[in-house]
Amino acid sequence: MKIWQVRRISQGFGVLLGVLGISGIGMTHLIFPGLHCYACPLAVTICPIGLIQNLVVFGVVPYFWLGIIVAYGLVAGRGFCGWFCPFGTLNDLLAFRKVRINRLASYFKFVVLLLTIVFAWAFADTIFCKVCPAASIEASIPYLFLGVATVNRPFLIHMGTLGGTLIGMILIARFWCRYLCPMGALLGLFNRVSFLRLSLDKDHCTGCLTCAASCPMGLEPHREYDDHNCIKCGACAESCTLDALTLTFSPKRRP
Amino acid sequence: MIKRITGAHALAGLLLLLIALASTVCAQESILRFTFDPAEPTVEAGGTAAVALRVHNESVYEADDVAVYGVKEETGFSLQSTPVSLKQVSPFGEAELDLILFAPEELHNETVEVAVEVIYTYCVDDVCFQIVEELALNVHVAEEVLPPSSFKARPAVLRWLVPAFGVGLLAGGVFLWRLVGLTIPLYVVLLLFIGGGLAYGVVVLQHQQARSIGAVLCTSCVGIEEAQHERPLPSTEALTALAALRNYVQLIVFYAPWCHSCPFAEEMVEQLAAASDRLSWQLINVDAQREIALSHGVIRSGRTIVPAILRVDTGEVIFGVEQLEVRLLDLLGLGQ
Repeated sequence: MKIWQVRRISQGFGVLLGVLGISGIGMTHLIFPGLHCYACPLAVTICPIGLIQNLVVFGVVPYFWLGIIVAYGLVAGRGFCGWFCPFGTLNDLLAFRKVRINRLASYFKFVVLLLTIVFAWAFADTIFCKVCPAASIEASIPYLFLGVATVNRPFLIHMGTLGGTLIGMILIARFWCRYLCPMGALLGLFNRVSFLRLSLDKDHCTGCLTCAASCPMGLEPHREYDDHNCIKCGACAESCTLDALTLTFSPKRRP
Repeated sequence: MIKRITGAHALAGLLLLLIALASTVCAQESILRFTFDPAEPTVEAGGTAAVALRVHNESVYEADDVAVYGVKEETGFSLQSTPVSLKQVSPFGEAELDLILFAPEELHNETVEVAVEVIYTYCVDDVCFQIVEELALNVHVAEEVLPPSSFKARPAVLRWLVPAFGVGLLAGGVFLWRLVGLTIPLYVVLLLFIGGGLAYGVVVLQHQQARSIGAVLCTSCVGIEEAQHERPLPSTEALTALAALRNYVQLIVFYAPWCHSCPFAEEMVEQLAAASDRLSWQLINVDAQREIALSHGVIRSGRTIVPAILRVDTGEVIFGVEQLEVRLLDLLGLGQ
C-alpha cells in the first residue's frame, strides 16, 4: 500500500474520531491532536486551542494540556496535520495549487497562536473560536440546522472566515496550515525532535526538485526536511525516484 | 321471597356491604417498592438536587400511571418529576422517575425528612385499586454543596514553582541540544513534561476540567451568538404581556459558571419572575448537575448547551440569549 493511501485511511479515521465522535459514548478526556471544534454536535474529543483559551481565562497552569501536547509533538510533530487533522484533510482535498511557500508569512501562524492566548487573557473570552473556520463548519452550520443557532452577526463572521479560508485553500494548497493555523504552529515547535520525521540521504539526492513539486506545503523537502512547516505527509518521499527522502519513525540522534 | 324489609334484613344487608367493602380495602395492598438514589441527597438551601426514584414491581400485576403526587408542604420542599408519570410498570419490572428536589431558602445545615407522596393504580381482574404511598426521604441541607466537578485548589507555591522549574529544564535541554549537540537530555526533558504534566494534571483534576469544558457548549463561546454583557431590561410590552399569564409556570435556567451569556439569561428570567407572581424560576449549574440537564433535553448529542431555559410543565427548552425576551414570551405562551 502506498503512503498516500495509508494517509487517506488515517485522515478518514481522524474525521471519524474528531468530527463524528466515533471513538466512544459521551465525552472523553482526550485532547485531539489537531484543529477541530469541540462544539461540533458529534465530537467527543476536545480542541487543544479551544481548551487552552479556556484555561487561560480561568488562570489555570495547563499541566494536563501541556503533557498531552508535548506527547503529540514528540510522537509526530506536524505529522498530525498531514495524517490526522480533519481541517487539514479539508485543506488536502482542495490542494490544487502547490505554490512555493512564503517563508516570512509562514511565521504568521505563530502570531495567530500568540494572539489567541493574549486575547483570551485580555478579553477573558475565547476570541479565536469566534472566527475559527473549523468552528464554522463543525458548529455554526450544524447548530443552525439543529435550531440552536440563527443567521446572526457571529454566524456571518464565521461564514466570512470560512469563505475566505476556502478561497485561500483553493488558490494556495494548505493555505490555512501554512500561514494561519495556531495548532500547526504549536506542533511545528516539535518538528525537529519528533519521532515521525523525514530523513535525507544526501548521497542519493541530486537536487532535481521532484520532491518540491509534490510538496503541498510548498517546501523544498531536500533542503527543508525538518522545517516547522513540514507536515510529514510523505508526498516527497513517495515522489523521489532515487529514494533520497524517506519517512521514518525514530528519535533524532543529531541536532 | 322477601315481602317486606325487616330490621333483620337491613342489618344483614349492611353487614354484607361492610364485608364487601372490607374485602376491597384489604385487597388494596402495595405492590411496588420504592428506593431513592441517592438514598439521602444533599442540597443547598434554596438550591436543587437530582434524585432518582426507582420503582420495583414485586407482584404479578401491572402497575399503571405511577406518579409523584408531591411532598407534604410543611417542610417547604417541592418536587418536579420527569417523566410526569410512568404509564406502566410491568410485573416484576423496574422503572425510574427523575426528580428535581427544590429546597427552601430558610433551612441551614440540618437533615429534613421529606414525605414524598406517590400515587399509582393496579387492577386485579376487573377490580382496580388506586394506591397512595408516602415515602420518607432524608435530605441534608448544607450551606454549600461542592459540585462533583469542582477542581482542587492548587497550592500557591506550586502554582508558579512547577512551571518555572519546567521552563528551566526545557531551556537546559534546548541549550544542550542546539549548542552542545546532545539530543538525549532534550528527549528526557520532553518525557518529563509528558509524564509530569499528565500525572500532576490528573492529580489536580485537570482532565475532568478538560472534559467539563468539552462537554458543555456555551453558545457565545464558539460564536453561535454574541455574548451579552449588559444588564437586560424587559420591555413594557413584555411586562404587560406577563399580566395575561393564567397558569403558574416554573422555569429552570441551566448555566455554567464560565458561560459569558448565562448571567444575561438569569437576569432576564429573574426580572420577568419579579413582575409576575405566577412565574417562578430556579438555577441549575450543568457542571454540577449534568443529569438534570440530560433528563430535560438540555443536552444535544451528548453536549450540554448553555444558557438554556426550560419550562417545566411543558418540557420546552430555549437556548441562548438572542432575542431572549421575545422567545421567553413565546415559551410562556404569551407571544404575538
